[in-house]
Amino acid sequence: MTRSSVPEEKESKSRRKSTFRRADLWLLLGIGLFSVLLFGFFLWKDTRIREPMLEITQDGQVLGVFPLTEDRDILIGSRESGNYNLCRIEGGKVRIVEADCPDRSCTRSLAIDRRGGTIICLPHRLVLRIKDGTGGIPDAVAE
Amino acid sequence: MNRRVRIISCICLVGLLFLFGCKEEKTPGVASDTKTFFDTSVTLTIYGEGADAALAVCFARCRDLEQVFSAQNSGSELYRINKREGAGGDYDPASRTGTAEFTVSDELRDAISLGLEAYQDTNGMFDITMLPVSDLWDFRTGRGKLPDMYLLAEEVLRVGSDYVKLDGNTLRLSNRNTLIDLGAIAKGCISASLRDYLMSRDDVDGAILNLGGNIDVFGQKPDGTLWQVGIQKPFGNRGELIATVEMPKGCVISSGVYERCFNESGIFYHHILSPKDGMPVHSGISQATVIGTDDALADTLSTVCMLLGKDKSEELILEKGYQVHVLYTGSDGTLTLFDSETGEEQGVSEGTKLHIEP
Repeated sequence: MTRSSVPEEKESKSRRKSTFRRADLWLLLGIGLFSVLLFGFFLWKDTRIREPMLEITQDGQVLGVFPLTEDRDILIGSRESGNYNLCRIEGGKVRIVEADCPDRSCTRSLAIDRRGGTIICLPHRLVLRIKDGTGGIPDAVAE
Repeated sequence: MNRRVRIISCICLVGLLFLFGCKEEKTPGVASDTKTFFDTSVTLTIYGEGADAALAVCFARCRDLEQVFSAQNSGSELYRINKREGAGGDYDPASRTGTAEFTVSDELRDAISLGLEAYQDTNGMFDITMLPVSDLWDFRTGRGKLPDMYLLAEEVLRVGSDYVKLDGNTLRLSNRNTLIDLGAIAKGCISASLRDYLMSRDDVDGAILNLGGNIDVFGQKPDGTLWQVGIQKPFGNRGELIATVEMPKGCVISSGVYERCFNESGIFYHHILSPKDGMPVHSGISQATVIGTDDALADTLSTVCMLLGKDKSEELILEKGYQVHVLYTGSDGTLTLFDSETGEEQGVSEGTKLHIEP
């Protein structure tokens, strides 16, 4: 510190302000850019973690978590042994397209999407829900 | 001290602050989960710093209250009463004669008392002893079936809340066939209990409680807007709405003929049964939604409205001085909103957003 400061002190008598300005400006810009990049990275990571996902639970056990961005069919249970529900993710929407439960109210449920919501099949104690939904209207539905 | 060093340290510190800023940019506490209890699903969404802890307590409380109210869960308080386990009084287990006497929990006392009051008010139309009759319809386990009419007539003669007497926490059942079912009241009692608990916590800002379609909201939504509670359209797809209620707090509880129903030989049958003949009630409405602040009362009233129909239930609500709004969906699909404060009805078109402050 002292080593570098000694010649500067001399020089600064004439152009003190400009020397300090230029060096500090670069430093400031560098650190500022670094901070902004880091800030952006954390923000990006944050939103990635909170991307709405479909969580499938049966009897309180989580069977799986799936992204809404990939279309796919998920068979819960098996058609042969009975007690099955076929869940379909299509274009970001989730619904149950087929089931062998007695009332089949799950297949009549409206599709849920990234905003949130649940589809429930009580006879099979199955819950499909959107984790970290972005929220939508309404907040709840009285049935 | 060197000036440059000082400036550099300052800039570094500011940079560090930026980083910490990111870390603290977490959303305020929110916890949400769905579990199944009492043959129904419970979805709770809680906002506030203590959301996670409060959610766990609420589900534990659901479990506890299921052990009080469920008529099906063996080992529950109500189940044991229906089995006459540990009955006091002059009840004789061998011949099953005499009056069975029980000391019941406060929770069960309040629910039964509400049921008995509604029984008196509706001249016996709302009856918590209909379990043997409703079991014949098989709505609970299956999708419903037409019962044997001889058996139905026989059971109808046996039911009646006149056999149920409540004196403080002492419950007396004077007929061995009397079985109590609190399906039309219990959910309201439980959501009221959960809400009271959550409101007592300083670290909970607000919550949405959904107990099998019974909605209760209170407190502050994170974005500061009012709660929006949709009302299921009768016979529509699940999640299809007939109207939306915008409210700062309160409960929205629907009862309707579109849940647990079936068609046979072109005739429509549903689960809201008349104690007079054990058959589905046709009161001119397909849905009644009660909006108020007392969950247990609103839960009971929604069924009462279905049993009595629009005009008679409005009369009863005015007579008792209950502070509620009721949205009736007629069998023809027309919507009528009744406000007990003014005693006035108002036609509502489908898809309307109702602003109500219970």
